[in-house]
Amino acid sequence: MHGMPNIVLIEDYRAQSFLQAYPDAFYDLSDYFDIDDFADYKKAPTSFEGGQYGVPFDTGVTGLYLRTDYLEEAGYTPEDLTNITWDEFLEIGKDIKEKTGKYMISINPNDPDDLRHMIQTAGVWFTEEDGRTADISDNEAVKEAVRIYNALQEEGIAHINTDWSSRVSAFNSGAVVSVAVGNWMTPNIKAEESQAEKWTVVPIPRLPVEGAVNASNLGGSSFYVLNIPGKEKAAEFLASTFVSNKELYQDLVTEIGAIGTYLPALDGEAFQIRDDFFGGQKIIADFITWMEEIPSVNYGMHTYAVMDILIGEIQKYKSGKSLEEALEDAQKQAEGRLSN
Amino acid sequence: MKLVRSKDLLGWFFILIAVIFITLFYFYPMLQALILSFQSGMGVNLEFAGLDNYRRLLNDPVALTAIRNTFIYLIIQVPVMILLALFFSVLLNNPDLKFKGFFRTAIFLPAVISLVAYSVIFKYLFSTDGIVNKFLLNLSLISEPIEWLMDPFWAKVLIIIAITWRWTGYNMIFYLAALQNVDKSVYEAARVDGANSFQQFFYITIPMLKPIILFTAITSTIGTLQLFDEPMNITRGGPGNETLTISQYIYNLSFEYTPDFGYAAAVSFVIVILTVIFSIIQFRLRGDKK
Repeated sequence: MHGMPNIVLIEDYRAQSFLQAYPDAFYDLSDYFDIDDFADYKKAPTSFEGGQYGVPFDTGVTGLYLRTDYLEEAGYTPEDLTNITWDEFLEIGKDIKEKTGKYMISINPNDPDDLRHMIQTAGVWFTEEDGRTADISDNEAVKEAVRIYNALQEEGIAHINTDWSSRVSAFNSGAVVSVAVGNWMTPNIKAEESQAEKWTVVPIPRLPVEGAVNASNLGGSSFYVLNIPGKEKAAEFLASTFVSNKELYQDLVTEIGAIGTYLPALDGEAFQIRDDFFGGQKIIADFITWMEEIPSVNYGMHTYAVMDILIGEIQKYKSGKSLEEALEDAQKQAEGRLSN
Repeated sequence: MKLVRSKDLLGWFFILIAVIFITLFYFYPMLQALILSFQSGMGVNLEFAGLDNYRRLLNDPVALTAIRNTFIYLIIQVPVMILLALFFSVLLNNPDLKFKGFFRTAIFLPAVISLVAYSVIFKYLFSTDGIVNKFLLNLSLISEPIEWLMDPFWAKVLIIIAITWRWTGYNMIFYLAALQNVDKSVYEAARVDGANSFQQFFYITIPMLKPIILFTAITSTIGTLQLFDEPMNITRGGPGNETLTISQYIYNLSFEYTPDFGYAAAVSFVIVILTVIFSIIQFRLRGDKK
């Protein structure tokens, strides 16, 4: 471990994989802070076998960014898209496409991160609560998410992007009506100044399954201290910054738009700011409200392995395989890979 | 007698340096990888698992898809590239050709460009609203843009176009060098006998270049078996797993997913085994069984 950094930032989807694959590599931070100071859903990815290894950092709380001018043109208001299901989203999308010719959303079939925030609205994941047993073919949420994801393409309301830059240009160029994504996209949306006052954010649509809520998460990460010389100092540094310094969180949200998950800091002034770009909406305050409703799930260790299996099977579903069969094959492949 | 002895020793000493380094940095890691391929587990928690990884490999649809894709690239791309390289080298070997240096440089230049850099540029050139589609649309060759990155068939075509662009010039240089050594009087005699250009190409040039063609065929084969940068950067293996290669799958198993280095090592031995098989075929074809 010579030459490794003292502090690393790991995406929450990957954290368990590192914590369990390299059990002695991380330093237990339980004595340095109280995890209950942070948003609830951050606990599962950052702890392991009773130890608290990660200091939660940013939230990936999702929202549905909407172009109000396109909606108006098609005869809709943002309220019509508030707290809806993905099926309703699909129907409205078809109507808007017909009336305005604009795509409802932009997706990348090779990186279907929408599936992740879709199923988290139902409080489940691709694996069971233990984080290692594949849960795909009998998982209603996964089934609905895959069905809807494919329908977005089949119905012709999805613009296709192939990488980050075409994903960003899809909304910067005005090609799409909505962006369903984590709040970290805000700076990219605001980058196109000519679209000022044409955007608003409403809660993310939920899956049409029982118990689903209009709140979810996409991405987000946490700080970890490596178990190498200097670890105490590194832990103290985190304790004096990200787990106590409220000012820091104000600066982060003001200067780079990053919303932390440290609850005591979230009532500061910077979080109540009205954003003129979004027509004076208090978008950060809204995101924080939704953050508290995010269903907590254990991302487990195999998120990306299962995602890749699903990408392959969705491709087959698209070319004619039945949904049930595709998901059963995905389940089998995942069982084969996860058991090893 | 004594002089010969010390000369021998000196010789052994020089060889020894190379042997030590090759053993330390080549054979030792290979042995380690072989041992690793019999182990299984996440990250550092490895346990001895016998042949489990190899058994798993035979039932892993993704691994089999990756092997299939790699073979498709191999079977189509290597012959196409070799023919193209031969064609260019013969054109550039024409003594009457002007600006020879310029053309040679132009065709060889792709081979010195970074794999990642050119892959990224290809990705943009071939995107749905990229310049290639615009060009084809304006020429009315196609009525709607080709989904180069999203269609299973065209994505493979794109990868093949990319590696052909990158490596044709490299192979051409070998042929060009070999052609310089072909005695001009052979062609002269052929012309006197009334052989046309095609006959000269097929009955003189190709037989003369046979050893070089075999050499480039085998190096290109090995290169294609290890193909990684292009699918990684252009398609990321997509759509689905339709352009995934064996090397990219090894990368995914080691770094994208929860690390399973044992299984990844087992998959990498597929490449070793395939390389050995193809090398044996090459030696057989050359009639050189040593």
